[in-house]
Amino acid sequence: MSTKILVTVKEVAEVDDEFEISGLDIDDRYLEYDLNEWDDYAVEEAVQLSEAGDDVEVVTVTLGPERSEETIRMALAKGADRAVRVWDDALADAGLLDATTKADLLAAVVESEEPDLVLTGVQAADDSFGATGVALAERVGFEWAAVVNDLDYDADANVSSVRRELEGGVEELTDVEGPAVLTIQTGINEPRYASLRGIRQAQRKPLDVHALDDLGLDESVVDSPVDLTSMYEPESEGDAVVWEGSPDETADELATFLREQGVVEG
Amino acid sequence: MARLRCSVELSDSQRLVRDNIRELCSEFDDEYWRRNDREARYPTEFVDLLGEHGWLGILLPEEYGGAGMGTPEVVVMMEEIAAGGGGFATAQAIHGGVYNSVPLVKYAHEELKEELLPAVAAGEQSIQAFGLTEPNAGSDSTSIETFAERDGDGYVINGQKIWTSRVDQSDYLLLMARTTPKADVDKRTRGISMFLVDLADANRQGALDMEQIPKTASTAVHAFELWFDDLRVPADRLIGEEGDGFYQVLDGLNEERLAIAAECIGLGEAALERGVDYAKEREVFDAPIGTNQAIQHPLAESYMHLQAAKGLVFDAAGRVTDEDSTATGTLANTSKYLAAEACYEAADAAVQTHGGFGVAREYDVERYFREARLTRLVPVTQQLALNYVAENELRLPRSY
Ligand SMILES: Cc1cc2nc3c(=O)[nH]c(=O)nc-3n(C[C@H](O)[C@H](O)[C@H](O)COP(=O)(O)OP(=O)(O)OC[C@H]3O[C@@H](n4cnc5c(N)ncnc54)[C@H](O)[C@@H]3O)c2cc1C
Repeated sequence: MSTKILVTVKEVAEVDDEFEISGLDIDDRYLEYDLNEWDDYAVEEAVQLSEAGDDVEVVTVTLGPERSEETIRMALAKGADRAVRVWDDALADAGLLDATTKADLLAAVVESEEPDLVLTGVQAADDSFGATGVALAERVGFEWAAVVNDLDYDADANVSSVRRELEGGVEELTDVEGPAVLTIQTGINEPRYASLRGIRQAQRKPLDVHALDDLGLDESVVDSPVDLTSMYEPESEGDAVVWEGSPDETADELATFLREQGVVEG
Repeated sequence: MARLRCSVELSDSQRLVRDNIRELCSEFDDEYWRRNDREARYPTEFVDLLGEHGWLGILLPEEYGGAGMGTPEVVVMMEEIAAGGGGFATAQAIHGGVYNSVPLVKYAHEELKEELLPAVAAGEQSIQAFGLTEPNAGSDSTSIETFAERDGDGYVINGQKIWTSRVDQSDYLLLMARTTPKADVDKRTRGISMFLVDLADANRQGALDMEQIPKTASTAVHAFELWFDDLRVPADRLIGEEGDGFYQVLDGLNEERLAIAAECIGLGEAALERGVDYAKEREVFDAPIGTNQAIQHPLAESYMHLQAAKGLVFDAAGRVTDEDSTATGTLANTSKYLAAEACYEAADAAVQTHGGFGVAREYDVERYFREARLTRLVPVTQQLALNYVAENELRLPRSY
């Protein structure tokens, strides 16, 4: 019996320490693009499952412009089998895609791929909605578990035994029946570096591009109640002081500082 | 540290190489590279990590477990290693490991290739050392005197080498020796042969003496003086044809030179980035020093020269196999010459920008400067690159 795992991956923008805002975005000169950190863990988890099981296919799906293929190839180099990229002029024109739009787009891919398991990152490092994975599960009617930091997958039964990280240091152990969506937390594994052979092979792996039409969707998918109205850098309200050195030295410095600030007495 | 934007259009595979090397380099902090230089310590951890992930086999064909990539990818790899903080020294730490197996692919017999190349591609065996230069034959490399005498089922080698790098980090040495004295050949480039010397075996025979040469640049990568005393090498370790060794070296030389040019570019970029950052941060006379054109202009100028050289290197990397050999030689020598000048200029500007801190180890630019100075001497001096272009491209009389 074969298993198919779909992993959503996103190319995220990383901002230089110093930057300028132009209009509703950070000026492109200050941006570098990279694979979303959470997705790196999701890819690794899927690749480990495919290495441990027989006949497991790992497919990645990305919503993004052609530039994002660099990021997709990186996931292929680390062991994913093939990739799907969804893009359309309508998406480019829309600017901000909210979690519902993303869920709708990804749902169309889920419906055509029919995976047994969907892994997403908990959130994306740039817009940090943290909602896409769960919204997707709702949209396709899959079971879901969010913020998963340990996974034991039984492919035959299609059941995921997961450990979830809840607020306040509480963890939950639970079984999720497939097909399911799991949002993967950093630290669940140790993402690998691509091997050079992997990089070589990545260039020959299939990467299919779908427009809205191909997925049976139309432009209304980008309609959103959410509008990006302005972009600004918040004023910082305080300064951080960082001490370097051994714990002994820094503890002394901290104590002196707290006394001087009147936080503690004596 | 803010990275310079890449001014060259990269292919998909070049981008993958860059991103992955960047990721590997980010495991190591500035203090790591600094300490390797200060303590003259080989970057073993970094080289092992690269080896483990197959990077030393980047040029080896896939049938031997390599990646089957070419010069366009290697220039990105080398530039990124140098630019990632490790400088020229770190790129040099693996340079031989990548290039010395290339003549084997072309000229070694099948049995040896099948035995050795997959292990090299996997990072388990290394051919890091290449011995050509001798005390009595520096730039005039066909005047080497180390001699290999045919004796039964092998050769017996006697002589001396100097400046042989990475012998202490290698399983094998690719050794160039005369099999016919220069006086007895009709062309000076004939009568030289290429041997693969198993260093453990040479030591077992007690036929190899070596002494490290104390030096002040690229200290992390050691260079040695070697003496061979009746070293026996089996005949099947002659690589290619007896007497044709020099041509076998020349064969891959232009591509290798482009990789070195890329290492210079990476070093120049690292230095320039440090200079620019410092120019923004350091305030004197109540303003960042970068406000002054005296600080800005040398940085901007070296940026321009680096970009010009980089454009040439990357363009040449894409064409090098399609050109006839003189044109390729001109491209490679021009690229290396300009890249070395540009990185020297960038390192000098970065030191000047740092004022007194320009010589403080902590700020790294003094290390980059020492390495940049070295790039104008190796693998051949700048004068020899000029000699080549003058003779072969401009058809002026040969001067070397
Ligand atoms: C750190 C380091 C690592 C090295 N690693 C290796 C290695 O792994 N393997 C190896 O085989 N070699 C290695 N070398 C040797 C290197 O290739 C030589 O140092 C280089 O080729 C120059 O030779 P030389 O030092 O004998 O200089 P020389 O040939 O003595 O030249 C001295 C000066 O005279 C100039 N000159 C000489 N002839 C002419 C001419 N006709 N026209 C104009 N100018 C001329 C040169 O440009 C130079 O400025 C290494 C060297 C160094 C410093």
